[in-house]
Amino acid sequence: MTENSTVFGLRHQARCLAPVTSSTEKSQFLAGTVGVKDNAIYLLEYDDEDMTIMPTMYNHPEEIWDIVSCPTDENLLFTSHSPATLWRKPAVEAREDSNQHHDLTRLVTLENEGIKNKQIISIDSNKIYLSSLNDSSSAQTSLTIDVSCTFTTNADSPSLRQLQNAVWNPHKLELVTVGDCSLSGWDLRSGKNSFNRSEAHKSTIRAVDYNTNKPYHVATGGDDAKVHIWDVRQLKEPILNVNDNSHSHWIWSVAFNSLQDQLLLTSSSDTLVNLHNVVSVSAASYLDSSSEDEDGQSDEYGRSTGKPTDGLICTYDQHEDSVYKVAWSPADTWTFASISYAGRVVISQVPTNEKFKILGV
Amino acid sequence: METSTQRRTKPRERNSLLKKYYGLKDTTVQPQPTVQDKPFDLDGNTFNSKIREIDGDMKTLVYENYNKFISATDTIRKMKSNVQDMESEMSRLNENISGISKQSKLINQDLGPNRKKIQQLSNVHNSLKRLQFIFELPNRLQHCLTKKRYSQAVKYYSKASKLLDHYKHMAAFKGIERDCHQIMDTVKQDIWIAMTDTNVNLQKIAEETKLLLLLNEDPQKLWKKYIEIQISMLNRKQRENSNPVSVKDLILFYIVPLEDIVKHFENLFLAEEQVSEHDISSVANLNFKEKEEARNDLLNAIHPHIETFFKLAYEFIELPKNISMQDTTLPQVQYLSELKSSLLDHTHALKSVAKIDERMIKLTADWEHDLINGLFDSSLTGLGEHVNKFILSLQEQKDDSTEFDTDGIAGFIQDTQTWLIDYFINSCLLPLKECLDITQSQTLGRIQVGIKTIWQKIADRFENVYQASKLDKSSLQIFMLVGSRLCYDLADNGVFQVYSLFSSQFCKQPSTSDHGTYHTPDLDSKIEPALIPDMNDTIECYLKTGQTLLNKQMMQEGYRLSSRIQEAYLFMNITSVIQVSEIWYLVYNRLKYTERLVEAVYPQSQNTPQRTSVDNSESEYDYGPYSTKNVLQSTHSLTTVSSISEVQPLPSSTRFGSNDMTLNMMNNIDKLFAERVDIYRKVDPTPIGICTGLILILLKSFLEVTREMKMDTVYYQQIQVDIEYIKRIIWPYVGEEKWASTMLQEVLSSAFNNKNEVVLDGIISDEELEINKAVTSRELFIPLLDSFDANPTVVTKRGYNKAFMNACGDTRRNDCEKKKHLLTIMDTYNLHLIGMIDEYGSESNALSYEKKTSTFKNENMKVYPLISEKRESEGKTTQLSETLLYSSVSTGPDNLKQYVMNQTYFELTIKIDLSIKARVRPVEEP
Repeated sequence: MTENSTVFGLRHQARCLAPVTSSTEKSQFLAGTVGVKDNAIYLLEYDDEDMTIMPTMYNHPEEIWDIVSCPTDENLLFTSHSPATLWRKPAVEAREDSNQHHDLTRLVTLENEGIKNKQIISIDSNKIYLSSLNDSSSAQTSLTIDVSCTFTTNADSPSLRQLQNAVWNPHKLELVTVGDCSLSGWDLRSGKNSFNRSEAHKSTIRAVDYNTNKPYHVATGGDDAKVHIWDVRQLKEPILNVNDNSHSHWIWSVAFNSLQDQLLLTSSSDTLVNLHNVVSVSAASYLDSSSEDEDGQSDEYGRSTGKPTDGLICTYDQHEDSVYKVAWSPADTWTFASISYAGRVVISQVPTNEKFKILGV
Repeated sequence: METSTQRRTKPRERNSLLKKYYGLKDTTVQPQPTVQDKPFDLDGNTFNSKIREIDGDMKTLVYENYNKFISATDTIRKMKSNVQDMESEMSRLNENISGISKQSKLINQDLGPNRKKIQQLSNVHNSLKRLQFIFELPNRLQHCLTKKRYSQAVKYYSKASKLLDHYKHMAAFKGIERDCHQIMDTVKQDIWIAMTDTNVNLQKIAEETKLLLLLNEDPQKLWKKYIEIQISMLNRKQRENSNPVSVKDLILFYIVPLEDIVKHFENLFLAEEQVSEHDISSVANLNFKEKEEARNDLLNAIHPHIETFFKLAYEFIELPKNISMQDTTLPQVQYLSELKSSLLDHTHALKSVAKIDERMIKLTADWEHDLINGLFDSSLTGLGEHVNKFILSLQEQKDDSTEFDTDGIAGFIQDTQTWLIDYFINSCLLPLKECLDITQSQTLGRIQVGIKTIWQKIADRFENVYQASKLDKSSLQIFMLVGSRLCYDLADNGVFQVYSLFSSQFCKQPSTSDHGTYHTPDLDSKIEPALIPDMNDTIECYLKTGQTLLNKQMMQEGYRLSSRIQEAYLFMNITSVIQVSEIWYLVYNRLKYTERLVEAVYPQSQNTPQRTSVDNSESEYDYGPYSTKNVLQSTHSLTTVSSISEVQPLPSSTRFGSNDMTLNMMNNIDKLFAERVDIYRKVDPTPIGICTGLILILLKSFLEVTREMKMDTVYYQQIQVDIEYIKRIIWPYVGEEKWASTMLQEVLSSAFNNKNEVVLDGIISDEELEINKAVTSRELFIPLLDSFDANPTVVTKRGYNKAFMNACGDTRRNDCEKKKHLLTIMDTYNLHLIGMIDEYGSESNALSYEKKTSTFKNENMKVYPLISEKRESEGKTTQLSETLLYSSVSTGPDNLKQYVMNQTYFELTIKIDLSIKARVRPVEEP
């Protein structure tokens, strides 16, 4: 699938990548580096016609451990270093000099990370912080939840007893967290635990994503190299064990496609990015034929290749180091980006025949 | 030329002339030139012999024909005289015959008129007789009626009824007919009454029914009545014997009467044509439809009884819950065969009408199936007991979780496998052979399926052992390994053994009768082809289960340790580097423990030749570090390690590290050529295999966690120190593996990338050198501690695996112009220092030295794995003096090696870690 991928190298090592959620016209991603010095945020704009990447660089004072873009204003972004900071990036008109470094305006400094509307969620090793943004200069933490109660007390457990990742429930005010071997949900109004599944994986869970098309459906990935999809109402067994042996090390990131939720991306420190079809537990399973035709790419030459089934669609192996993050483009359903520690960003596309299969052409 | 042709043809002509004379067909008129191979050689042997041969032929021919002629003449003469006699005889015969015919004609003429008369008279007599019979009929019938001889009455009546019917227009007959009818009605009524009488027996009822039939009763009514009566009688009888105590009783009370009922019914109503010789028209002439109806009625009526019978029969042969056929054969087997034979022998009617034989076959099939499965399942219970005993013994010695009973484990594996196979063979298969009819292919098939099922079940048990048992962690770990080993062993030969026995004892008809004993099946004895897919499936399944268990166990350990590693580094809080991070000691202990454990579980692999089929050539080098292969390997590893130490950004080359782009690039290039290694992968069932797998997991976690760390100088130094330690502890397992060094290098470089400025020093100080100067002996001498007040534990004669002294250290320093090398001999088992040797080959006892020198206590010594150094200036690898020692230990004379390996060592509890003096002090910038 090399013909569908574009590679871009950052100058430093990097761990984090985020889609610019509010940019629905162009595929834009933010990447942050964890170099010794000269750290920077890269805004990568992907042109899917000639498959090129236009970078814009912004200086950042420290290593960037995570990054997130404001869902409404593309010029606002949070980075997590220590502490987390909300930045406003300057509008850049002239793009001809791509090596020029731009400076960000520091807006708010927070202890941690995560944005929804004007509320910010941040996590540290065992707490969730819910903060709200006042005006645009200060933030106030309104809720702190200690999640350590969901972790095992066994000191010799096969997992790291720390909060690893969190995702908003897009359907209600709830946060889904993973850490240790537990998958938990937290009601952000009451601050109470809404569900909990311990020993969801055999080792530490590092990745979580919520299916935006189907309430209660969550994907998790862990150190046991497995990916499970859960229905949080019935947590006894996962509703799907995604293709068991496709990864051979820790899963660092999972991502549902927000429109075609049968497409699930996973990335792992075994240097692979895998694209799975999880149609049996997706919204498409009862829609029968998906009506969305986002791209307008109803090509005549597409042959009907039969109904899609569960399974590994494609493995992307352009990375040579651990792939820490993978993200779908908010602008184009079929485009996604992945970042590996070596500072390599790969923007790839879903294979064309799979695309046709899903569209039913 | 011409003469020769003449000569050649002459005998031929003669021959044919002769043949013509005697009337023989001349077949060889055409001369055949090919016959004569040498035509011109007149004096040759061939020619002469030919002539002689032909001459002989002629003589024989003449003689034979003459003989024939003589005998023919004789015969003709004889014939002539005989014929003359015969002619006179014939004429006499003729005369006699004509006389006889004349006589008979005369008699015939005389008797002619009388004969006709006689015939008429006899006809009249017959008619009269019949008439008389008819006229007497009412009286006779009456007589029969009064004497209750109904069958006689019916016989008479049925004889006469046709006639009466025919002549009923005549008044005289009419009267008789009326009388007869009346009487017969009474007879009929009487019979009906008699039939409903409950005390008559079955036979009688059948006869009475027959009579009624003959009296033209409505057959449908009759058969219904018949069934009703018979069934009620049967019910009564069975009620009296509701609990048959033996199969005989069962047959007697349940099947025999039923059979009788059906037999009579069949004769009465269902028979195709009259077969009975003594009763004319004894059977109701029913058409096909009626017959069907009758049959259905009968079936419906007897169905509950058949059901009861089979229920009872099933009770008889029902198997006990836990079947064990160790000593006694089951009585059920006897019952079943009785049932079978009596059913098949005595129930022709039931068979044809109610298909009872099919039922029986089904019952037998079910029973066999139950028996087979029950028997095999009993092995599960036995296995469970074995396992429980083992688990108990595991938990008994639970005082120290790192200890285990090697012999116990090995014993358990051995015992369990032998027991299981033995049980299969002696308690399942052989008894089955005794009690089942193995000539039937269905039975064989069932046994085969049974075998496969039980293998499957056992495999499932093993695979899910961790869910079922409530074992503590270390016992579970042991048990999973043991289970894995068992699976491998079974796959290796257990399965084959069972199948080959099955094949030889069951599938091929054994010529000799064998009881209870079985011979270990020959390897070359062919297994029934039909079994091979089954066997292969099973073997494959067991290999898979073994692998799964092994992997599961390793992964579990890997998860735990890597979590600990992550915790250790993420929560690291140190201000200066004092020693190797605690976590690596833990890792090392776990590795050692795992190695010992796997060693205990998979010990014999080095001397089982048949295992090579499973893990081919690898097994050779996995075991026994003393094998030459291993030694060579170690030699290779020396260079590999050294090459790393040059490439990696060691503290001494800090200056070069300032350009981290270069470092990155080198890293990437290295990675580009590195083989991709799957971190979570299938491991070989060997100590090395498992430890290597574990190390791979741990190193990768280490790499990941160092990337997540916030680095500063101290942390970086710590990681460096740790890496040195790691290199040493993993070296015995991974040897020269590229991935290990690459991974560690990556850790360092990623750590290096994360720190800002680090100045590290790995150079050893003067004091350290001072220690090593002391040289006590020039010979290679592995010192024994003579006396040591630290109260040493004496460990006698460790197995070489455990006290292999291969890791020789190289302590370097750049002192003045001269490089000095010091070699340390390490006990890799616990990384304790045993001896040291310098570049002149002198050697000292580190431990006794430590006693003398206070400097040792300053924790100043650093130990590297033995490496041969490549000097850049010279561009060639210089073999340093430590190589001498190394080679003397590893490749030197046998007695020396033996001496070193068989030495008795003292294991010392020393507060200071002698193996790695972890103090790495920063050096002041010049």
